[in-house]
Amino acid sequence: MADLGPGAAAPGNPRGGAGRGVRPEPRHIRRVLVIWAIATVLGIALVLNLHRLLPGLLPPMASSEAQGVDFTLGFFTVLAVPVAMLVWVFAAYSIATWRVRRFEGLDGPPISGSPVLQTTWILSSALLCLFLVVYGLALLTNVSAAPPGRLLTVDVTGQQWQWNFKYPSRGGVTTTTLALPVNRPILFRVTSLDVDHSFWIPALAIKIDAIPGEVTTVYAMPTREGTYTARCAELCGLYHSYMQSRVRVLSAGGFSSWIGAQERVWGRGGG
Amino acid sequence: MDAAATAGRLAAAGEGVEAQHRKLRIGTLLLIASDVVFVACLFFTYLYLRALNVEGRWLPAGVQPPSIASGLLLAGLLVASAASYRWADLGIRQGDQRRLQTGLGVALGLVVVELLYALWQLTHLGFGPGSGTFADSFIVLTGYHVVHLLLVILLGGMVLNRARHGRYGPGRAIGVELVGYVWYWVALMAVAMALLALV
Amino acid sequence: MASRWWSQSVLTGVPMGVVTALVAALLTRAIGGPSASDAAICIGFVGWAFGFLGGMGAFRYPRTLLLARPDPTAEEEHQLAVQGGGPWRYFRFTTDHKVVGIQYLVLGLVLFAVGGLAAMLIRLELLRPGAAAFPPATYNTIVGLHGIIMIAGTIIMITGPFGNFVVPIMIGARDMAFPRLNALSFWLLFTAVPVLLCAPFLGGFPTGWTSYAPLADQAPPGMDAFLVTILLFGGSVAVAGANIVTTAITMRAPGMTWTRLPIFVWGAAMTASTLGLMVFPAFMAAMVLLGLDRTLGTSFYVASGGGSAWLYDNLFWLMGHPEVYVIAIPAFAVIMELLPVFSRKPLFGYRTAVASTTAIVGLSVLVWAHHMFVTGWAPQLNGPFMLTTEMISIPTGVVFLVAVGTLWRGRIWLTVPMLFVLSFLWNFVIGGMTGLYLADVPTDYQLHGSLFVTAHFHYTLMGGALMGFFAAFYYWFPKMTGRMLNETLGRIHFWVTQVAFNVTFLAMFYVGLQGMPRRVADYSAQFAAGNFVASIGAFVLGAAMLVFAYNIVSSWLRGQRAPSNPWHAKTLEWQVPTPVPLENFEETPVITSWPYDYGAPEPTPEGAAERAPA
Ligand SMILES: [Cu+2]
Repeated sequence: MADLGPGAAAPGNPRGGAGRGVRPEPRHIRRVLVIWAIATVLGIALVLNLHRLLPGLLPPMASSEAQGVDFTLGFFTVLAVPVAMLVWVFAAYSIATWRVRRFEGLDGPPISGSPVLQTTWILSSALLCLFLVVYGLALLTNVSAAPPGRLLTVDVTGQQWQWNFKYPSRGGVTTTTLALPVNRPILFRVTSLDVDHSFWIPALAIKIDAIPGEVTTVYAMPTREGTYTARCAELCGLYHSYMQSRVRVLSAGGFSSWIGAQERVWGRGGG
Repeated sequence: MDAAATAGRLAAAGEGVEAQHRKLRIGTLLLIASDVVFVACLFFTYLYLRALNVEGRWLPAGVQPPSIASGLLLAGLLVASAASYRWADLGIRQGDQRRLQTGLGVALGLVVVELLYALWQLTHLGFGPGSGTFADSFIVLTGYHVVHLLLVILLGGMVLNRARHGRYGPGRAIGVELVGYVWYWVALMAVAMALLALV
Repeated sequence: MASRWWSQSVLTGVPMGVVTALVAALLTRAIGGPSASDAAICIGFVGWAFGFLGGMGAFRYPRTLLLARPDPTAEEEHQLAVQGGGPWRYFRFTTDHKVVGIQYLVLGLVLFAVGGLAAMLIRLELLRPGAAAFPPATYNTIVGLHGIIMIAGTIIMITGPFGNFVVPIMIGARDMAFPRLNALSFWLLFTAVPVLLCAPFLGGFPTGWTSYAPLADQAPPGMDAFLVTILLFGGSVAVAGANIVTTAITMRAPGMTWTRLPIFVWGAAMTASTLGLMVFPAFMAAMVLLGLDRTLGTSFYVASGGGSAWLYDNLFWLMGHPEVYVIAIPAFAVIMELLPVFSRKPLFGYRTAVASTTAIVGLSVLVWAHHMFVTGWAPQLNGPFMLTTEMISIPTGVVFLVAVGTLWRGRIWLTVPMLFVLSFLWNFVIGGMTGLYLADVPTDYQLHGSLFVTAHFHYTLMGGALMGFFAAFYYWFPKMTGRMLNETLGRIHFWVTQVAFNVTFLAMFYVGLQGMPRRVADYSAQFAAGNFVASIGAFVLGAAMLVFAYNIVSSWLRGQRAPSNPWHAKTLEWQVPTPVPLENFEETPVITSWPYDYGAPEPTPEGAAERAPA
């Protein structure tokens, strides 16, 4: 029994859907496409204005990585709207137009598939997918490389339930709050003393796991001064919720004076 | 039509002999496939930790891996045992009860020898769990192999017992065949473990 | 055979299990000394399972084989399938696939109730910042219990009840391929439940359901209960999977060719069960190694001994990602099975749907490391895994084409099961689309480990897969119980669930985007608004489930009697009488047509089955 019977026809071909005894209604496709276009435009307008409707939807985007993430989130959402609307509008239109109150013993037309439509659907989703992969790879290459400029290395150590930050280029200054100079590339080298943690600064859009016995790395380029939060993003036991540290992005001058003061404290304490 | 329907009825109800055998074969192979994945994960563990621990952490001082020869011996015993089992299985398909019992007896005996040797080896390694990642990976693989051997002895004992009661014959030997799949798979794993020693 | 009514039932199983557990645990402790307490707990739980199964009579047949006793007679087999016929057979080792289906259904519903209760407690803790309803250790255990119960519950929720009850009838078989293994798979699953519920009394487990090592290495003995639970559950999944797949391959009635096989059998029985059978051993291996770390002092996951947390991550996600398709594919299959019935139209693109389902299964084993983009393991592989992950959206998208193509120009009959099918189309689109952000590595760097991920997988697993379960439940309940569910209550259940679900998890997307990590007990004030909304939504959702529970109990006890084919469907299970007789069919049916030939020019009046002449 072939599923593609002779009566099979694409919904895209309105005349073909008219099986025996079904009145042709050739304008459904046009109407639903118009509704789809309107819904897509409205949907995209909503997405583009979402940050106005929901203030604080995203954390303050305070690094070049975060700006890329911010853009990608919006861009993907805009891309998703027409696809989602395709499913929802076609389904909603079908329900609104062809629903029956109760079972009457009548069947719909025997459309059991449309090779053209199925191929088109698969090919276009493959193309969309290919585009997303290429876009993602480009972005990934971008964030995996060190940003230009003089690199500052910070060693981050997670332990139950706090973060420690060490500045190896500054004589091993170690603190529990993180200070970073603005507009300078940072290399975080992250590890853990006990269990898995995950070092996350939402405002900088960076995250890397802290794995015992391993050193993992991530780059960031803070672009906006301010006070933010670093959080643990991997369940690490009893006080996981409270494993947070303050992160301050300071001006170049502010950072030098802060680290100078730390060096003096550290020098005394360590001496 | 009537004949076709009758054949169909038998097939659907799983009553036909061939249908019954096919069912048992597929079910057994699926369960073995599941065990293959489990073992593959243990091998993955061994190789992953091997790759991760380049220097002394793989073999800390005092941990001496068993010789390659002992791995080959374990593999060889089981391959011989599986071959003997296969010989027995092919025998009963032609109705040779004597060959079935002889082959089974030899196969089972070789597995018992293997089990004793593996247990002796595990208790005379000179290292135990916690002596580095080689020790741990080796012990878990050998330990699971011992579990396999116990299973094979149980199944082999069952087949031998049933054979002595004359429960098998030409066309009635599916049980022998099914246990054979387990047997061959366990032998294959022993071979793979012997090869692992070369890594 | 069993002469007394109480023998080989839970009445003998439970005491034998408890006694075996105590003996095994005390012996281990006596031999191994105080350092063997974790080992004693593990071995005790395994002993419980063996003792229980022994008490249930599960080993009688193996013993018969082993001792070369005479094979069971047809009468004994019959006795094992009937077990007296009354309700008591649900508490015994009963081989009738319809009994096993009902057993799975009830156990699944109980699991959902417990897991749902845990969800309510989580949302209670998160209602306001600073609210401490529970001590942190208790809270973490609740999070873990919610996770593992819901994952286990959703894995069995469709293939367990409907795969067992419906699939054999759908393909024209008299029972499953291996009726004894069928009973074994259920009772093995049953043994896992009390083990898991012991965990809170053994100090709980702090790891969530992912049980990441090395946190799991240092966890209290509750972790031992968790890992034995996984081993028992994995054993049950393997046995059930092998049985269902073998049934679908070998037990089809004459004429039930692969291209006439109902899509539900393809999805739930063939592909999802194979996948479950093949991937769960990875989780079991991960748990065995964890158990050895905890009991024998090995260091598979302990960095100081040369082990690695990344090893755990790999083993876990080798199972973890395919496993979400073990949950989702049966739901896809239910959606595609029900759409033709309630659109009164053939399934649109049947062969493409089958091919896509198979492609999803194939690809699903190649995507595991997308859960590890931020672990720092093999960053050079992030690109390839992004590729495979995004590729899997192609066959998944086909499900939507099939759905919309089937709806188009149909005569859409909005029954309660159909409403749930349609809600799947809404929810799963959101779940799938939000997955794109997580598949893209740079955005995943931001979103991973946040409540955004939690919301995303609840949209797929709850909004998608669980809605598929509800659809299946309302659809097949009349066949399974002989009663119709109350339709008004069903509609209330549907609308409240759908609205409250979306409120809860849209709010969770919001706080996730804001930067709130998942699995926290407390949070800063900036996340207060979203969490409050999510909690209120969750409580309303909980209330909707009470309506559902009331509907089940009242309808099952005294609902309207169900006709044999209330939905006028064409698959075989609707062509047999309700209640379904013991061996389903008087005469083996001969299949002459496709089950979805609605609106066919010359439809078969009485459905797909034609009785063979006697
Ligand atoms: Cu942490």
